[in-house]
Amino acid sequence: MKRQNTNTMIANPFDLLTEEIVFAILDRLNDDALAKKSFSLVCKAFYTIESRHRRNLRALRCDLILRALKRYRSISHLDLSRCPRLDDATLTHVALATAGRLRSIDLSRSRVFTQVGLASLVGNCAGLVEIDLSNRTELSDSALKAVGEAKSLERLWLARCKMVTDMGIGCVAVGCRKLRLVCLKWCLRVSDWGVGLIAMKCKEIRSLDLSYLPITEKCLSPILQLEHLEDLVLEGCPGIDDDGLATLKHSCKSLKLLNMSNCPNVSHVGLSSLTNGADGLQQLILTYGPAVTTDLAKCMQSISGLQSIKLDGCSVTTSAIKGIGNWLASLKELSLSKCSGITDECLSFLVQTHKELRKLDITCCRKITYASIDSITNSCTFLTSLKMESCSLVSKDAFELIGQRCRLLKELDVTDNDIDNEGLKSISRCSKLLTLKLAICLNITDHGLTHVANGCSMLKELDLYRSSGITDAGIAAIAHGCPALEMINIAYNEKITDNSLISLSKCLMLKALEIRGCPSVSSKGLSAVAMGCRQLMVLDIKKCVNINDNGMIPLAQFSQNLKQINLSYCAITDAGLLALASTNRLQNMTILHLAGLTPNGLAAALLSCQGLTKVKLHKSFKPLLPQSIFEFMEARGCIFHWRDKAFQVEIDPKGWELHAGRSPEAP
Amino acid sequence: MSSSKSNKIVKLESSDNKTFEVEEAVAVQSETLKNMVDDGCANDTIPLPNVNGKILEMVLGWCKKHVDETVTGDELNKYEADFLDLDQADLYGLLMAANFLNVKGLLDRVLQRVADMIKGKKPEEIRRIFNIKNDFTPEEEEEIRLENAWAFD
Repeated sequence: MKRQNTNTMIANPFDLLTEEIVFAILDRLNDDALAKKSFSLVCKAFYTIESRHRRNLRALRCDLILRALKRYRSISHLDLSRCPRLDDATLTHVALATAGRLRSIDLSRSRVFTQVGLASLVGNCAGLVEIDLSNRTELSDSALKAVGEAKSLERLWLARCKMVTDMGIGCVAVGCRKLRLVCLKWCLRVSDWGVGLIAMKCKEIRSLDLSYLPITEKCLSPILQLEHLEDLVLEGCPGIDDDGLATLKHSCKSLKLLNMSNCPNVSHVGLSSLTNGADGLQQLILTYGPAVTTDLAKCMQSISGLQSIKLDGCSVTTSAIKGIGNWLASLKELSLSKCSGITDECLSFLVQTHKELRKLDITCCRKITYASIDSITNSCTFLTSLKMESCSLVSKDAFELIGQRCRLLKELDVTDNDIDNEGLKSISRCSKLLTLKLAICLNITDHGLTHVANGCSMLKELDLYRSSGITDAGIAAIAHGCPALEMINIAYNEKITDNSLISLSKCLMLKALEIRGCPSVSSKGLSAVAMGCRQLMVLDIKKCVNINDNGMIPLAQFSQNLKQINLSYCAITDAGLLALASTNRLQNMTILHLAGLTPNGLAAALLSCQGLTKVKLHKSFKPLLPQSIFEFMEARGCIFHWRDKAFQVEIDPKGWELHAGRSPEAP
Repeated sequence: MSSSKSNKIVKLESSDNKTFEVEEAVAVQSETLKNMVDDGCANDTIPLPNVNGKILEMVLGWCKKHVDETVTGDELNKYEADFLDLDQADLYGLLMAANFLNVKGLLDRVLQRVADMIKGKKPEEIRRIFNIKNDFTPEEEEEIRLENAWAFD
């Protein structure tokens, strides 16, 4: 043991620490990719230790995958979803490089490889337990035949694999007997036969997603007999109806989650066939289904373990709500978002039974008033999440009750409500608040926001979209009081100037900044943010007409993490766009009506930004560039969205529509 | 020696021959010592050649504070925060001691402290903080920097 002089620093302290301890330190940096990369650059010893520690790798470029795998020999989880041109040869080499260690691979969205590459992957990596092949729309049954050789496979995602049929699924069912999770969402050619075979051969299944499949109750019979089934998702299955469900004889005791949203042909009659005997049911999702009636509520009356129910978008009768109030179970989570029929009387009755509620969503319940908020805050003091966007009849004094009584709140959405500064002052007492949405709250000002800044020091997300009473002073208070801030939206506010951005540059954790339509903001403010907020990932400065090329240079220089950007209507020319694009970090770019963009500039920017996966731009550019550029980009995995919107002179043409309800933002 | 657990004393000796006597309830905060007590090996003085007196005193102080029922949650938080305000030599000594003695809460805190010293820092800054020499050539360093930036996340 080296002698330690306790007054000075040790020569190379990490020498003293065992690998086990350094690994434990690196574990705590797992969510900070930049920190681990910095660590690896410190010295050779650190480089070596970090390369032995890493288990997860997300490759960004096809041509550099193998090099990365030479450096990192212990990869067990490999994400190749950003490598759209992954071919059989590369996939084979990947398989050989990772052979014994690989447990999980994400091949979603990569296009070029075929069953040859898959066979080699499966053949070399005997320990593979998880494969994601989602969005491989041309994937064939022969590819699934290859997957069927993966004997240890436990989890398989095939969402949107529209070409696979029952034959391919059959191969998987017969070969992968240890499967626990299968997702077949949107596999439109898979029918009862294929799904039934999975249920009959793969007895370990815990989780099954059959959304949008043309299946009927025929495959549900073997499914309900699975002894370990916990999650069953039947979203949007038009072939499943009351009559068919009534023929089912089995019940599933192990079922914990049932999702039947968007099933228009299933009422309480059919649902009761599924929930009868499902004593272990914990979560029920029935959003956008037929009307919720008393009979439906009665179906669930005696299921004592029910914790969560979502009824978004359904019309609900008041007696049904009262029926829920009579349940044996004590709900933790309830969503009545956009449900018509919710009144003060029935909601108050409901919350009195379910005092253990942690999450409540009453978005757009336009009939409820102060009385409901009074009941809710009185009964459910353990609430951690409350969403009440557009509850237009709730008076401003109701918001004071929230802060007084529900101190454990972590998430609060009061978008488009009459809340005022007194309400905000009360809410600032919820010191655990992480997410606060105050969009379209026209009665709040800096005074109220300062209370939030002082009280909610853990705040991560703040939405002040169109809350025009806020100025630089309020933002400065937030930047000072909420150092953990990760996301802020201050769109369409003329009073926000560069001073706000200079304040925000102190928020070192800031990842997303949305300041659409703020004409008083310029490149000076944006530069400050670029230099201070090094974790910036998402930037939306649409219609900030005073931001020009000078704002792009600091972004190019400092924003190592910038992935998504909206520059529409900004005073940016070819030079600015190229400076930004050539840093190669961008994945998603929206560039409508840039002040000085020419076809040549656009071409140069597109070609230099190698990681682009999505670009939204104006249709008028399409004929002005050589077709080969688009083909080249698309082969590289980039998708183009062409927009036809004419140039709008007003910064905020939709502003007057505010009172008619919030209109969806255009890209 | 009394047979009731609450009075039992455990004796420990540090690498520099200092002895410490603590109640069993305090000592068993360390999983390592707890195993010894359970196995009946804690009757004589337990030698700890890996831990010096200064560090051992700190660790036992931590354990005592966490057993003390009169300490409030807030007081404990403040104590833990102040505790880790150490110079680096002590920090590493503490880290190794907490690992060897397996004092979960303390180990967690110290590991997090070191991780926090790394977060958000560039390589040059990390070298400065931990007094580490850069043994890469400029070409090697540039190659790794490029690979880090472009090849993976």
